[in-house]
Parts: sequence; structure tokens; C-alpha cells
Amino acid sequence: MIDIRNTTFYYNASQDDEEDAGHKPALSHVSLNISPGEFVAFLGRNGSGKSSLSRLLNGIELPTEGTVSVEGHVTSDKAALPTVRRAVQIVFQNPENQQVGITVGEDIAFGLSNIGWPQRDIANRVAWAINLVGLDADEDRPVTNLSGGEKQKLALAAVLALAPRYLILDEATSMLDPVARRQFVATLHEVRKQYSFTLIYITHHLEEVTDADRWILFQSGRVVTSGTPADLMEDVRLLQDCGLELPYYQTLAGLLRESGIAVPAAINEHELRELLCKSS
Amino acid sequence: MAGTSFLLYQKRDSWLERWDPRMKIVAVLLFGAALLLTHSLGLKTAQLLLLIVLWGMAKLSWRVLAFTLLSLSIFFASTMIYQSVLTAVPGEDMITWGWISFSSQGAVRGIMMCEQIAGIVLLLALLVRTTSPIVLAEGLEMLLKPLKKWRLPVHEAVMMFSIALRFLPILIEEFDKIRKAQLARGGGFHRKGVSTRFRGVLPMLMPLFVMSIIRAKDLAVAMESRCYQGDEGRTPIRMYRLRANDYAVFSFSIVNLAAIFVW
Repeated sequence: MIDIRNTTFYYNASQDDEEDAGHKPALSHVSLNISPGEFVAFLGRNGSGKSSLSRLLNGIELPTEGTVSVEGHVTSDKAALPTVRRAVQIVFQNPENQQVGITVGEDIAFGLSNIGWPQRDIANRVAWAINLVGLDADEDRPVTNLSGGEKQKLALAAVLALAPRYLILDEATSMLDPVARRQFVATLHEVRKQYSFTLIYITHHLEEVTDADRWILFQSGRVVTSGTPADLMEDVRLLQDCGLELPYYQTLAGLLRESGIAVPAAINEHELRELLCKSS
Repeated sequence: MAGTSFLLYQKRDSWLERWDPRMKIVAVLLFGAALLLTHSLGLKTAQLLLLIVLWGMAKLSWRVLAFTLLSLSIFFASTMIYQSVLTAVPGEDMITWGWISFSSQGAVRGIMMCEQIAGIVLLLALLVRTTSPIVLAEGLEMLLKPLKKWRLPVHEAVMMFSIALRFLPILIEEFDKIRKAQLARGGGFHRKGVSTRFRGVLPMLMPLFVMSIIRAKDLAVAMESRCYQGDEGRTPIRMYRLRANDYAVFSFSIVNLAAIFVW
């Protein structure tokens, strides 16, 4: 379990009187629990604190106040940091800035080498990770020859090779075109069927996280609310306040409701299509 | 794009790629020393020809080879002028052509110097184009391992070197994008006098510098999040074993170096 307790975080914090100095915290008094196996979406505007929190979970940044613990290991404990990092892996926004190796195989092997994976098993593990994400490339293929979507799949393979129990996708689809984005999300769901992990998905695209267990809305470094997608989608104003737009089919469902047509609150894209086909 | 392809390693399954990285580095050092120390035009020419043969065996592009040598033409021209015209020693055979006099011995010195420059550049190009940066870094680290006893940050230095190699082509591409963007806005360094061209470089270098810093920062975060903590507890990606092939390369490099004392 991930336990975030009353956490405040300032970038470049060095003094105790940050608030007095007029600096705004990236996160302010955030408390959260994330259970094993959960699929959680962090939602909010740019600068609302979603990515800052993801960095705290992996121990890249440490909280200025409060604690973040992963399976009982506090991230501020230097000795526990390798365990925390191994358990929580992140796929970042720009795939090019997270790839160290020249070839697909080398890039996946980089992380394995860091954690001291037995040398004789590295090649097998690399092949396993490539196969898991369905990357259509052999391990000798240069990273520069991959498309944007393939590069992000490689980034996913590289972190999954480390067998994380918590996976954070920090706007991992934001640099992809719509087709590549859909493919990446489909790959992710396929991977989750084969390999179980807690998923923390940071995005601005609500349609990618409609099947999440829980949405957590951020605003100005604070958690505004959390709840199931079905519950939160009803509060359109709150979503708008958090800089979020409903998926097109939810907007259409809302317009139909306003016109007096009975459309259930919790409806997905396919159900709405069926409803429209029946009524016509 | 020729500049980018010159720097980028791509797997071609050549004989040179199968050399052990340690032996490859040692062979490059020995061959480089032989190139610098040889005073025989014949031997230098033979060494250069051998490098060109190796280029072919490495399945590297002949266009890239031509581009590499052409990009050195300004060095070749200035070296030839300096050696044969400007530093002609009194008493040497002087050949007069129109109003120019040049020394034939100086011309030979110039050719040897040009072969030396071309040889060193080709040697390094062969090394980086037939060895993946990670493999090169691992080889270099294994060779420099004894220095760790004096607490020298060998691993960190080698990792920086390999990442610099990995990102060089990306930076070249980024520079090209910035250059085109500046040209589209009427800037750039391709027009007018020298001072204007010189001033035009700065608006291109600044964004490149800023981008490099951002990339470096992002990469450092990504490496750290993938459990990188220096060489502590790392396993090498590949198992390196010296084979008969590698010993043959080493022996040849020694013979090549010894040959300069015979000629």
C-alpha cells in the first residue's frame, strides 16, 4: 500500500519558512492511500501537483513536510530508497528523454543492470518485456528507428522488466497522436491482464481512465476530491474547475438529458451508441 | 543528416562489432600511436588503406566515409600549404610554379600529416560506429578499473561519456531544427558579413544549450527512477570473454606498432 500523510512539497525547498518567503507549494497537506491492485487516475490542470506527487512516490523528490511510504518503507529513509524505487516505476511524458540505450535491448537492460539482475538472465528478461508490451521490434533495433508510440511502449517495457508493484504513467500518452494513444492504452490494458500491478495514471484525457477504480482531482497542489468515475462525471462543473473536459460521449449524453431524453448517468461510449441506434 | 549518421552506431552484424570492446579500445590506442609515430610515407599510407579496408569490413557507408574525408578538406589544404610553402627549410628541393615556390620534402611531410589526421579520425569513427556506447562504456570501465583503487570516479566518467555519445545525434538534429526555425524567422548565420554571421550563431546556441540542460535533467531523473545509483550493485549487461579473434587483433596491433621501429 502507498500511504501519503499530510504531505507538503516545495521545489528547491531549503528553509523552514518557505510559506513566509511567498513560495507556493507544489503540494499542500495531501493525504491519500492507494491500495494494491487499484487503478487510480490523478487528474487536474498543469501545475496542480499530480506529477509532483508521482515523483514523491518514487522517491525522486522528498516531501518538505509529512511522509510518503510505500509498503511500509518511508521514502525519506535513504536505506529504503532502492526498495521504494524498485517497487514504484514511472513512465514519463517524453520517451526520448528517458531512454539510455542505443538499442531496444540495451535500454531495457539498463534498469535490470542497475538492480543487479543476474547477468545470464538479462537477455531472457529483455525478450519477456518486449513480448509483454507487444513491441514489434527485436532487441537490436536502434531506439531512434522507433515511432513515438513504439518508443513509449519501449519505455513501458523497460520499467515493467523491473517487476514493479506500482506503475505510474505520467502523461505518458500526451506526446502521441490519437491512434498511437489508443494503441498504447490498449497495450496497457492487455499487459494488466497478464501481469498485475497498481496503476497510477496521470492524464488530461478522461476517456483513457473511464474504467479506473478511482479518480483523484487535484487543484493548486491540493486534493479536491476523489471518487468513482461514474460519481465524479456527474459533477461537470467540478471537472471544469479542475481543467478537465468530459469525453465527447458524456458531453453528448448530458445534452440529451437536458433535452429531456432519459439517458442513464453511468453510460459508456458503446451503450450510448446502442441507445441512439434504438431510438432512431 | 550525414553528420548525424557519422556519429550513430547501428548494428550491422559485422566482424568488427564482434570484437571485445576492451581489445577494440586497446587496438585503437596502439594503432593511433603507430599512426602518430611512423615517419614513413609508405607505412602511413598502408595504415590508412588498412583503415579503409576495415571500414568496408565494418559494412559502413562509403558515402559517410567520403563525407568524413571531405569535411576534413580544409585541414588538409591548410596543412599542405603550411608544410610545403610556409615552413620550407632552406636547402630543400624547391619547385617553382608561377609565383609560388614549394618544397617537395615539405609536400611529403604535408601528405604524411594529412594521412595522420585522416587516420585518427577514421580510427575513432570506426570505434564509435562499430561499438554501441553502452558496450564501449563497459569496455572502458573494465580497462580503467584499476583507477578505482584511487577512488577516481571511473564509472561516472564513463557513463557521462556514453550518454554524450548517445545524445550527440539528437543534439545535432535539434541544432538543425533551431537553425531552420531561425532561418524561417529571417535569422541565421548564412547571410551578410562575418560579424553578422558570428552574431547569428548565438541565437542558435542559446536554445540548444537550454534544451540540452532540460534533456540532461529529464534523463537524470529517468535514470534515477530506474534505480540507477552509480556502479553500486550493477551487473554488466553482457558477459565479455576474450576470444582468439581478439588476441589476433591485439597481436596485429603490436606488430603494427613494432613495424615503425623497423622502417
